[in-house]
Amino acid sequence: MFSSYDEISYLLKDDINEMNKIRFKTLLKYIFGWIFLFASIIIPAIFGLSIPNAGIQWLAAFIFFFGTIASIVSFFKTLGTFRMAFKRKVVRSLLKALFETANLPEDNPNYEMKWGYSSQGKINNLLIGESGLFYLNRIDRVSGEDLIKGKIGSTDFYFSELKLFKQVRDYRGRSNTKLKTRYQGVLYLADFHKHFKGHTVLRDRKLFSFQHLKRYFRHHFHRMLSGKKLITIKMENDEFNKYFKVRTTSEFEARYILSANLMEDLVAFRKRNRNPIDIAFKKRFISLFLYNKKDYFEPSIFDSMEKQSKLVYDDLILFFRIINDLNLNTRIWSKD
Amino acid sequence: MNIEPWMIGTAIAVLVLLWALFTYNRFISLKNSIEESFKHIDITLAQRFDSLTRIAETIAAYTKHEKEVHTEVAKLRSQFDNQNENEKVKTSNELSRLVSGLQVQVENYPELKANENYLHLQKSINELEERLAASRRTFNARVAKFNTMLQQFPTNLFKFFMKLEKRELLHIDNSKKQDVDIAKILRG
Repeated sequence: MFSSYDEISYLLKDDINEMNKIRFKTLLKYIFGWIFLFASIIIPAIFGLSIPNAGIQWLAAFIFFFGTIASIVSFFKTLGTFRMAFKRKVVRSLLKALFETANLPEDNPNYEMKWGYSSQGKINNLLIGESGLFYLNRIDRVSGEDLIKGKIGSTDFYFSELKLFKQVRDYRGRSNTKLKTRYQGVLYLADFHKHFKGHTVLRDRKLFSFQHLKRYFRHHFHRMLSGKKLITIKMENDEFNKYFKVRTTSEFEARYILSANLMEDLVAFRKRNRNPIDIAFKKRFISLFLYNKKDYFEPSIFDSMEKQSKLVYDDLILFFRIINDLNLNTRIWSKD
Repeated sequence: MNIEPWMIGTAIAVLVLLWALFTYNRFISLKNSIEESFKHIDITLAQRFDSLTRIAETIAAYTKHEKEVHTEVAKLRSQFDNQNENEKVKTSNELSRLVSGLQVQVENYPELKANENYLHLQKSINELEERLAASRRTFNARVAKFNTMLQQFPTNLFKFFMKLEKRELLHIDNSKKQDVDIAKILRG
């Protein structure tokens, strides 16, 4: 469906060239920034320590203080500008090229290709709640970036990097609180191709054991306190059971959602990703949370733009292929 | 405090009793869940049969065989209501064959092909097929759990007390394990 990187690289040429120029300028500013920082530390130190004059010492302290602050601010500003330029030019151009050159299956006139990108945006809190993935934890704050949304074929999708925090009391006492990261990774939501009413969760069994144990207790506490019954069921596919634990409000519905084909597709998808993945089916969505500490779509001033652009392409394709891999465009009648 | 032999004996007896109660209840709940999944299959089969009946009647209204189709459908309907699951599947498949035969003629009636009611019924049958397959898989999973408990020691001791018998699994057609791309089917 999507073109290879080589096929679309000619569409990115202008933006990559421009980005290379920006990278060169940023690199120069970066080097000068370091020189300025060293100078604002070393020069005042030499003069301030060697000349026993109060005026000179005050001047040295002034240069040291403001020079260091100016250098640090300049670093952040320079790298921030470069980062935003990369997202605006490379990530946006790649998305545009990918969607404009995608080959839609000819046999369906209803298929559409739409996309939107917001480098500062994230999936909104309502959708995070509706994903059905984070019901075991209280989430107090959410941060995220790189929201990409759109439509591939008949399937609407949204994904963004997310960090979900819980406020905890720290050791200093009741009034002091700090934020603890509960989940970090990419949340991917797509319109599921079947209708369902309940809630089905697929927990990755490969999460490290302590987390597993905490989840086990949290699940049972949640069951007791909320009265919401998510029962654990075993599927017919042994390999699938090795990777995922299925919890659902209705066994009939879980088996309706998890057809033999979908189970095979999910296992294949899970094998391709080295990190654990949690999946939930709630409302009209299939939601995947890919546990990952990687910062997606972030540039480096030390690598060539061509290389970085290819890396962004690989990451984007990984997410766009989910719809194809899980066959989400195969619509059931009521979701036509 | 000294531990007397009678205390150990009582503790063991209490544990055995608790285990027996738990196993008894487990068998009862499994038996009921099998019945529930069987009812689920029954309901879905009936819904599928209804949809097939309606689609047969919709096609027949456009063709020259309206009377014969009505007679045949009425015959199958009267049989279906009093049959067991296996017989119901058979009757439902017979109706399915009748519908397939009629669908060959749909090509000659473009207005029928575009009829919203016909399209709706056609699509609902496919969804019901998927739900039926899910219900059967649920039934089989529950029966497998029940049969395993019935064969394993020491839970198999309850087989005699509770007069339990091994249940048969339902056969699932391989072609029903896949999702149906209804849009593709309707476009021909």
